[in-house]
Amino acid sequence: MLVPLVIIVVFSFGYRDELGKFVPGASFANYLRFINGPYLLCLWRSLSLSFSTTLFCLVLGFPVAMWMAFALPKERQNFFMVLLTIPLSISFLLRLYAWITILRPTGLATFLLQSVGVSNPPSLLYNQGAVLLGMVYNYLPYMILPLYAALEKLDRRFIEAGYDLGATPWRTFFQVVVPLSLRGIVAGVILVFIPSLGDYVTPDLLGGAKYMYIGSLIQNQYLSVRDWAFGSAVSTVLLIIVSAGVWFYIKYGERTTVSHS
Amino acid sequence: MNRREFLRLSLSTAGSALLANSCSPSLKTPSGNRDGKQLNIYSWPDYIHPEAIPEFEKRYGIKVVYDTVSSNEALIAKFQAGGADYDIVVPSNYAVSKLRELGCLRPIEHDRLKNFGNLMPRFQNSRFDPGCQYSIPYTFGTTGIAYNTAASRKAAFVPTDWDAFWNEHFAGRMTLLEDPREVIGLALKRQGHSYNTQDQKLIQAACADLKTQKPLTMCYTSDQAIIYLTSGDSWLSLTFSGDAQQASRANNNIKYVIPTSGTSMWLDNLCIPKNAPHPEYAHLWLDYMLEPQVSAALSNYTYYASPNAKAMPLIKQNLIEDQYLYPSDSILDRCEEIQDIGQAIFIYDRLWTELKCT
Repeated sequence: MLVPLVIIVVFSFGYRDELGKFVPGASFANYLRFINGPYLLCLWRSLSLSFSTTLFCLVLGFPVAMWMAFALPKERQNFFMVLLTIPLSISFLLRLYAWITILRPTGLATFLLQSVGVSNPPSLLYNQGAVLLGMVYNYLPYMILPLYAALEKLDRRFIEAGYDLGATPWRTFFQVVVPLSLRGIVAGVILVFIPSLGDYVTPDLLGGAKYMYIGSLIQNQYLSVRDWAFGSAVSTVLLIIVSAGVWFYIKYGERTTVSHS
Repeated sequence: MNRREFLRLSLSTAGSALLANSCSPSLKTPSGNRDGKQLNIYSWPDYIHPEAIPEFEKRYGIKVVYDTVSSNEALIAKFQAGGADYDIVVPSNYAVSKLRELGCLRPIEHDRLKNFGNLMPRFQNSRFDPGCQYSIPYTFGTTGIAYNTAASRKAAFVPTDWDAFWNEHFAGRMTLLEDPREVIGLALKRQGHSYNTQDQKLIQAACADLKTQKPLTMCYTSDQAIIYLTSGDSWLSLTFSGDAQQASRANNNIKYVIPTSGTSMWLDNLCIPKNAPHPEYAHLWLDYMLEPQVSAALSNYTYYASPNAKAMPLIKQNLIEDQYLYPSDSILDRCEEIQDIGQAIFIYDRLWTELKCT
């Protein structure tokens, strides 16, 4: 597991020669290039996209997970789990191409808008909204599944106790359900945030490659410019940000869980 | 969507799936069994006549495995990762010189090729590989403008030059290629400069023009252009000559022009990697591809132009008569090949990233 990571870190201190071959080295030039270029903007764009994706997945996923765990009878829960995982068995690319077919200018969504009387429908594909839609669609199951697992195990008597003590439903939700399912939330957030940060296919396909995200930047450096050293440096920066984030998040998450139990 | 487009879509999807799975250019070897007589080809999606492989397999008793590549850069990256285990690869002109400099190619043994003389003289001695020592020309074409004539009539504007991409009438319905050299190159050409400019000021000016153009663009894509032209989603696309021709067969409203300022032309070539496991089969394949019938069938199917003189009589008349598929010398004089530009690629990359970040 660690070997590829070590290789990436070592590569990041080298450089690319005239022919595009990688030459080992010991310089921070690639890192300086990263902070002095348009690249930081690209990193910022990716972080905010991943943040919004995670937030939308959490806000949309939590009610679904609660409904599954609390409102559905046991055998229906399993059926619903299967429904949730069916899309995951279809290639991620085919699902994105399906969205393109729906959203494109001569596609289904524009047609529906026109048929309900919108005379000049806005373009639905190839903007940042389409990218966000695709991201949330792709990663939502990864949020719902750990949330459901946590909620399903939650002892209902805590919720009843909340009501017995006179708490409103909202207060019970925020002070009882959320803290008790925090492990599921942590797992869901990590499962959505990290892969979405490196995803370059969704922004390229649904965003029309008009905006570069950090994943495409790395891919370009490896495959088109063939500057493996710089690509590795960007990967290393991303790795540090993600690891620091996860470490902080888990530490903080653990502490909150402990203080409430 | 007819079968052919579906095929192309699924192939390009498969191609990108391969790319997505192997973000680090993987050490994936060709699929299929490793023993027995086998020829491994690494080429572009839908870039061969469907009958060509079965016919070769029947004639020589050699199984052919056809894997697809998505860009020249991905091909070179694969070689540099040391993972390429193919007998035939199909790089474009500048990639041939690059691979050759990197020492990745095996010299062609011309005494094994009895059909080499079928090639037009000017293709037997190209600038990037004099005497075809390492490469055998496969097809050639140009990158130009494909447009929808209905949309063009409505806008009362006929695209003839690169300025069309700055025309507001086509706002939101244009596609450009996801390729820095082609796109920055067209902006350079529009200003009267070369595709291979290495002057940072000129490249910067070109990119500033592209920034003003960006809000009009629907998307940057290399594999969807043909589909969007056909479906009518795109009214104006930067595209390859053969792709435009395929789209126009499916949608009569599509027309292709080579801009008056000139454009890039390219030649795709068959090469044998240095460490090819089956070089003798690879030479059989080269000679087979040089046969007039095989080369003509390829051009009739893909609409890309054949460099094979003996194949000409067998190619459909309407294709040969199309001045944009088989351009006259006066058109070709305005076009240039995209060449390897060494370290200047960093300028292009940085400005391309800047364009994509704002």
